[in-house]
Amino acid sequence: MKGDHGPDSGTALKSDYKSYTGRKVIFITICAVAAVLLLGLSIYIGGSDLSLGRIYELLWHHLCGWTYQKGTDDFLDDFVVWNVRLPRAIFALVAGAGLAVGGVVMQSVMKNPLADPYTTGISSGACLGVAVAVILGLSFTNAGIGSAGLVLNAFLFAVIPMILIIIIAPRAGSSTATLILAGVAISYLFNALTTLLMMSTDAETLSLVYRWQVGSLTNVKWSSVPLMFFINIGGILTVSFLAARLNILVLGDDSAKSLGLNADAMRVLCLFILSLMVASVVSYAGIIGFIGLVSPHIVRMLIDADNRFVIPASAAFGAVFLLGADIIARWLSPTDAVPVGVVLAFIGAPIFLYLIIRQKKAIW
Amino acid sequence: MKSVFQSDYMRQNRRKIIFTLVLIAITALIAVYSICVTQYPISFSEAWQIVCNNLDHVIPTEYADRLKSYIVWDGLVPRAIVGILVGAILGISGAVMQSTIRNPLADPYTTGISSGALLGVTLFVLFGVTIVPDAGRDAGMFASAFVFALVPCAIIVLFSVFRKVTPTAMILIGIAVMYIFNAVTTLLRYTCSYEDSATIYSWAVGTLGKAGWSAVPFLLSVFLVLLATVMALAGSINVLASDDQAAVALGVNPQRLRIGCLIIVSLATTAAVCYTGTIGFVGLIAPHIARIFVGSNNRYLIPSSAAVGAFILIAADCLARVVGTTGVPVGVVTALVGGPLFLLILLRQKKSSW
Amino acid sequence: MNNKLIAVIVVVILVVSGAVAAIVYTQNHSSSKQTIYDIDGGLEVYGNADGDYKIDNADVQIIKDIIAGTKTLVSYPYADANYDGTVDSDDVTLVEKIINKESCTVWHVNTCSTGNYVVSTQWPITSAISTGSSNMLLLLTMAGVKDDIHGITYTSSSVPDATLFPTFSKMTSLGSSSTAISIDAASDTIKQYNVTALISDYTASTISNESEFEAAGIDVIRVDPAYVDVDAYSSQLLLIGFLFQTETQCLEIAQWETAVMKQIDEKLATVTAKVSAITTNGSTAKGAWVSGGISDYKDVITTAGATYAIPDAVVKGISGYASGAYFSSSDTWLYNYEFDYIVSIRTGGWYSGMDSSTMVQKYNSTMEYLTNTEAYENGNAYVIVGDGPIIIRIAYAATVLYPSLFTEDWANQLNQEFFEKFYDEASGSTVDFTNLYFVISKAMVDKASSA
Repeated sequence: MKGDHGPDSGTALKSDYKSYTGRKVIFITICAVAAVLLLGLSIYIGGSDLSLGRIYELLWHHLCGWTYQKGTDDFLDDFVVWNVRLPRAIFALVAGAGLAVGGVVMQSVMKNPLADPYTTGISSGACLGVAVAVILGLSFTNAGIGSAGLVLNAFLFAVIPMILIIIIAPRAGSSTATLILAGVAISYLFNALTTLLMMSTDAETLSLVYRWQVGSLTNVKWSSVPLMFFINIGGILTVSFLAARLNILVLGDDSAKSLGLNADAMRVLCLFILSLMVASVVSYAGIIGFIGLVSPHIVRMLIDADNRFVIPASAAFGAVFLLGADIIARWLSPTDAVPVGVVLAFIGAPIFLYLIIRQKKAIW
Repeated sequence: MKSVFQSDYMRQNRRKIIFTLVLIAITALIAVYSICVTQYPISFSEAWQIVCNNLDHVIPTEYADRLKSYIVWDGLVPRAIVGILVGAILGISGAVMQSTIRNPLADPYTTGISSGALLGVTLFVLFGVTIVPDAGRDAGMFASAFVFALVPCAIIVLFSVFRKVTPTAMILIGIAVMYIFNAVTTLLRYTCSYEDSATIYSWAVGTLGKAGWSAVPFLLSVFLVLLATVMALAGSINVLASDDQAAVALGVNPQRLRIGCLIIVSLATTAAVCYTGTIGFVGLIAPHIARIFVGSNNRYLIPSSAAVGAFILIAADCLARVVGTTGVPVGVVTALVGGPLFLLILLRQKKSSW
Repeated sequence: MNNKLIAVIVVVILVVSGAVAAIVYTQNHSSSKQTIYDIDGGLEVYGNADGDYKIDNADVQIIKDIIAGTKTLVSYPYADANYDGTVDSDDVTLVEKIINKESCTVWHVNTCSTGNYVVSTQWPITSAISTGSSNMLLLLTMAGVKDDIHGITYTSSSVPDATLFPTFSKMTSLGSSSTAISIDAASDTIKQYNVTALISDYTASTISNESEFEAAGIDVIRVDPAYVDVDAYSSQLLLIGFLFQTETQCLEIAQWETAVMKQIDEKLATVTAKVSAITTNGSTAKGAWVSGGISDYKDVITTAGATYAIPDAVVKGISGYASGAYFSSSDTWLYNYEFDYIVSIRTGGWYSGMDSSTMVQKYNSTMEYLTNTEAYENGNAYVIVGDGPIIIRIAYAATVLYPSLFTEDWANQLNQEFFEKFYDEASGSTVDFTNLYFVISKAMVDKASSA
């Protein structure tokens, strides 16, 4: 057989592999560090003019348990830093990670590079939920924009496409094209119903529902964080454990069977987890696009396509991406006139375009 | 003496032609009847009488008659004609798109026309930006929509000319450009007044109500040119629909043909949507339905997609006019009907036409 | 197969339990809601036991009577000054504090589209921020509190009118729309001016982060500055006056408006056959927005004595909640209804003076889609002023609908009287009424176009 089996080639192979793995580890580390730095930056940027020193002083005092009297400047500063900026930053990190991982999973399950977390129609479901709550006034609790009732409605309606897809999945069998098309058709249907409601109401209500759809982190408070946090962190961890099996899923159902994996069940489980993750983010923040589609691609082009690394790497990258975009959005407009999705698109689309053009080897 | 094969083949072709002709006839009937379909009580005979009067240049004197004449002659008649033309244009464009990009999800807006046109309309509604100043509210909007709609397509063409790109890559480029356009549009729509936001939204849904007589000659010529060009290319498109390498082997330059088709289709679709807004589904579904009856041979698929498209649009419009107490835009009906229909088509598809 | 089933079952359980939790949560909340009584034309502050326009010793007396047992809380629901469910000496102390103008916490009604509710507010208010719709700014200015408002929010397309709101038009917006204020963006203003309150419009979707503001120590007060009914409007005015301690001014205005409305009602009572009308508040490329249903614009027309030609059910449409419907060039539903007049209420520029071409443009753009209606053809289509107080709009609408009973001179004189007595000083700019007009008729437009 060609090639050396001597100790020299073995070491060369090992060092190659080490530097290969090393690159991935470095990437994740860089993202993690960037996330922490951006977290600090995010608390600094905002409409209220607070110096860096003041911010750390406030954070430290709050953690030590200091409280202030209502109506004092200190109280308001503490409120802004702790109750307005911090939850928003944390939400951005976790949501970004969740959406990016959702993108990875969806692309693996659907075996399609154009899939994103919303391919199965979850975003359309959430939009319909919001439209139903605001325009028809049908919801479990008083649902105005930004209220808990609205979030609940959005979540419940986002779950409907998930159930539909889970029911359709076994029938689609191994044809992911059918699954995608089913998701597309479901999206179309829900969008049509939403449009019907939007066209039947006055301009102000229509605009309010539209603004919700656009996707922004403006309405995020501490109460928005727990549900989303647990679902997404749990989801990311679960998916990381399943990463090796996701690799197999991409190879095709026959290969999967021969390698001992129940492809159908795996697909359903993945869709279930990812739908919950996405639904929890979307219910609070609207439809934040781009991260799910682009993060996996960027990570794959920089590292490689093994899901065991792509998943944590995408999570880290997605977190940094979303938080960075939110910082830019707030820096551009302290009054929240720039939704985060717009910034994401402006940064992401050129990168995406560049990567498509530059692509020498085909990832797909 | 013809062989069994030949006579079978000719019978099949005849069936396809008959299908298309029958559909055209039905569409024409619906269109003619549609001149009395509205929420104001006008009977068909009255409407017919009004049409004849207007053709004879007879002007009514009573307010009630003038109102009816206005509704029928200035409103419903051009609406029916525009409906047929736009439906046909969208149907043809959808068929060509699906064949050249080899993707069942392609529709006439795949090259980013909808996002471009939306940006044009947004700029016009918010800032009055148009290439035709002082031309009145509607004409300015049409012009804006037209110009901006072609920008994403131009970008795709530019990239394709300078680099060899696969059909998938073309779509990806289109998507990236669409994202940027949508981002700009969203930014503008996020902070505008409620009325402007609602206006832009309803334009995007698509309605046949804005196109009057002035749109008819333009759309008619666009339709005829499109049909003639595409039919002439039909044979080559057939080849393109199979495989790029097979195309080269059969003497067709796939890259150039693809780009050429994209340009033609984009121009025609843009011409249609700048009057009506981006009506969805017609361009996506018409070819699928046509394919069920006439197969994938573009020589038959294209005319019958045109017929199916026209039929869908005019039927949907009739429905849209009488829904609820004030009617809805036709885009809502096509979406509500189109979505489930699409799903149905997908699920029932046993043999793959791809 | 089993796994899928499990997954679906889990989801169903999650969904159902979520729904149950939500329902349970709502039940708990709604049971704690108490009924709130309307006092039409009165001060809706707890402690105002007798329901008149002020808190004074008469109220103290009633509270003492209730404690003594000679009167009941049920007959005087506003006697529970500290809103704790019982009437006791604490209520007396609180009311006395209010009478002595000492700082304290008062309880009052917030008007809200999803249901009125009671809140507490630090009293008196000396510094506040507000949402910036022109009706709201009008209310605040006429209540004499413009100098206490240090920040407003508005969209770039609805900047406050410079003539009516000289100070407000110079403020930078605290939010990206007229319905939302970002706490982060507002906090500098809040600290600089020691803001303690936020005056918001009554729609629930405005200031959706109300609970955040409350948590940050800013009291949120909701009023409806667009009430057409004079008594309801007076309540709002009196509330602002009470909170900011400009009661005298507010009471004067409330009384003046009530008198004007009485005058109009008396004359309208002589009408035997009412005219019918519709109203619009403008057109966009989408069509003319024809009001109806719960619309305030429709209320102006009906208060001015006309019957409204479009039944509520027509504009209800699919959503069931509606304040109108669009009518575009290709629609025909409007032609099914007969109406004598089109009275469109538009905002923008009336008090700064409109030149001829602006007037023509305003009229034509308003009537663009209505040119085929009989009312328009007969010349009975008018555009009237939408800036300025609502009672004035009602007056001008009445002059259009019943020209034999109400002359334009009379309405102009009322308009001027209002500004001279109540507005010029409060706003800091004097409106010059020479060459101003507040009704645009078809005749005027035809004349200007042909000139």
